[in-house]
Amino acid sequence: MDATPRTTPRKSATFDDYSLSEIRRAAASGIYDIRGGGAKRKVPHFDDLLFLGASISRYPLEGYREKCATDVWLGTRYAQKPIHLKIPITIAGMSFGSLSAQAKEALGRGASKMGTSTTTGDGGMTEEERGHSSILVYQLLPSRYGMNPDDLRRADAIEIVIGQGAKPGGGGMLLGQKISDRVAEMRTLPKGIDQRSACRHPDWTGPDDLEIKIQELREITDWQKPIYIKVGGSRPYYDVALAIKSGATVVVLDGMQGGTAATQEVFIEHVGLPILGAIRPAVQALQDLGMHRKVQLIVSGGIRNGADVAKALALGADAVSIGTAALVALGDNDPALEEHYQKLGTTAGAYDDWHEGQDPSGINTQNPELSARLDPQLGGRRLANYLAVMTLEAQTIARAAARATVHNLEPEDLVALTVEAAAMAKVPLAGTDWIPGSKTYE
Amino acid sequence: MPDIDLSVTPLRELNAALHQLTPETNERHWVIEHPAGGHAIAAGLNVPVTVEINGSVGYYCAGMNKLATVLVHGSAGVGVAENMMSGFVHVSGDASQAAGARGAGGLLRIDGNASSRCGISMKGIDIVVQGSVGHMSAFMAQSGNLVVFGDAGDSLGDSIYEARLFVRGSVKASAPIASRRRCATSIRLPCTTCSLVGASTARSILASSSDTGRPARSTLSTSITQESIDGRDAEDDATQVCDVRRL
Repeated sequence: MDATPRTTPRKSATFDDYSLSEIRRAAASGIYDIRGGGAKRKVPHFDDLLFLGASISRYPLEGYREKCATDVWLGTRYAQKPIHLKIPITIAGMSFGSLSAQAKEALGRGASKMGTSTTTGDGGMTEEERGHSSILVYQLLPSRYGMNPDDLRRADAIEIVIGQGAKPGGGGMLLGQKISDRVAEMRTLPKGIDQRSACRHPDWTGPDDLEIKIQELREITDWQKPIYIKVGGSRPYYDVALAIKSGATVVVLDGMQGGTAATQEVFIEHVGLPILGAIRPAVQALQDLGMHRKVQLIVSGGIRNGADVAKALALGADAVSIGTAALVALGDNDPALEEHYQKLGTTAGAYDDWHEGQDPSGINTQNPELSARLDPQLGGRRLANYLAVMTLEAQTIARAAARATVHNLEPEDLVALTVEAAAMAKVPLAGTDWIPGSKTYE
Repeated sequence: MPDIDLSVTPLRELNAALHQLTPETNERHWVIEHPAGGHAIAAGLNVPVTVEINGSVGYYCAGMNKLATVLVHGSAGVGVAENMMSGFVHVSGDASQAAGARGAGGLLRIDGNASSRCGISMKGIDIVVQGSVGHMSAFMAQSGNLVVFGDAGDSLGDSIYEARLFVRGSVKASAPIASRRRCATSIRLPCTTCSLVGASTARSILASSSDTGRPARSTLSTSITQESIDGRDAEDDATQVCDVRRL
């Protein structure tokens, strides 16, 4: 008989290949890892929910023939000029600086074609995005880069950013590789020097101050603009309640899958809630204050398709926001660029070093040669196509659930495939009437 | 000369009237009575008019001011002249936190003291404080000049980029280590006018400094005038210039 049989070499589930590689990288470099994008770890998500559809107990609407509305009004509380979107999908805030001017233009073109809004970001408003965005939301961030009253007045809404899902509690970051002459000028920064933004606003420190800050913004804009407040998924019940108390007309809630231009990997993967776990507490806060559907809720973080849209709306949101998915629609991480990704030591679908400014797709860069690769008109058409598909998919599901508008979807239309998702979404585990943490349907 | 009594006229009505002014208006001098600590008074002005406020104001007075002159005959609450783009704001009393926060231009003059975070995130504004400033003043300051005739509190200029800070009195020594190291460039100037001479001298020092490691900005705002600092003893010979630059 030959030698004693050996057990198969076994790798640790705890010290997996990725963890080992990160330990080696940290040991060699002495610096923490920075990257773009959102959480890559698997967390409970919309895939863990299913719609029930219709049968004898509920009659569906006829697909393609019977109307299923998708439009939504945002900012109906206080604002003299609320926003009317034709679809319940908006484009999230992404800065010029992080993105190329071509990318910002493409986002504006695509969103405008579909009758929805796009959002500025931590870098001010560019002419490209204002010129090509029929509805533009202007962000007021802790850094206040590029903030000026002229742009405030020519925006269609104002979004006070308190946090984002990828890094709730953290400030912005834009490394020197992307601080071009134009970015430096807009942000009053020296060219080529790393920029790290504050995580707190400079002129208010709590919800009472925030209420007065909002009053100032309303006074400056003559009470015309909707005022959004964006928070990361952290303590959604209390954060949303305080946002409402402060006078927000719209609350934007961003889960940990939501992307960022750059921050620490440890922040992205270990801080904040997945969006699935954040929506129901937020909606509960709105309901407890009698503000559900009066103060609108936009959710974001990992929205990929019409099913995700429909599920978010069914859980109580008024609209969703997309960032990473919109960039993919423009061409980010496209396998057609695999050769370029290989040169950067990565592969299509995994590229996340957006902060380095070498994005071969021309989206996450300020390199003129790279950014010239992105055709804003073509990118706009691709984004519009993608938004149209998502909308049609959401309508398909809504009709099957016998809803004449996508906003009539509700938690009763959903079941969960896992105990975790059932508990987070507060819908029953499939095939049961059990909602963990609750005895009955909500 | 419009004379508005805020105990009678709603704030919304006042600000709406100010926002409707055009550059050609003949109503160039407004007087506001009984502000009673109200918030956002004269916020968002966009024309070269003068607004004189007789009394103390609340938060965000003259917020995002552009072109206008706003004179507060009293004290100001949080965020006076925050995000100012241009123009002149004068507070004859004290100012609360975050005075001139994020200001991009213009001149903010405070005759009394300013509380914490004066000039936080400043991006080109000039701020002159005849008294002292509180902690975290000029935190993350990017551009502009902060001139303090009194003392500066803790963490002055923490995480500063390229603003210039001038302090006649003492700077609390418990600033972060990086800031203290940068403060090694501080000098005592035989100052006669403090601001212009100080800025010019500081600029030349910085140009030759091996300690900054950062290219100087191409332009330096020098809109502080002698008139703006009248009332101080110009013969004082001890002015500390502290230029702190981020690594």
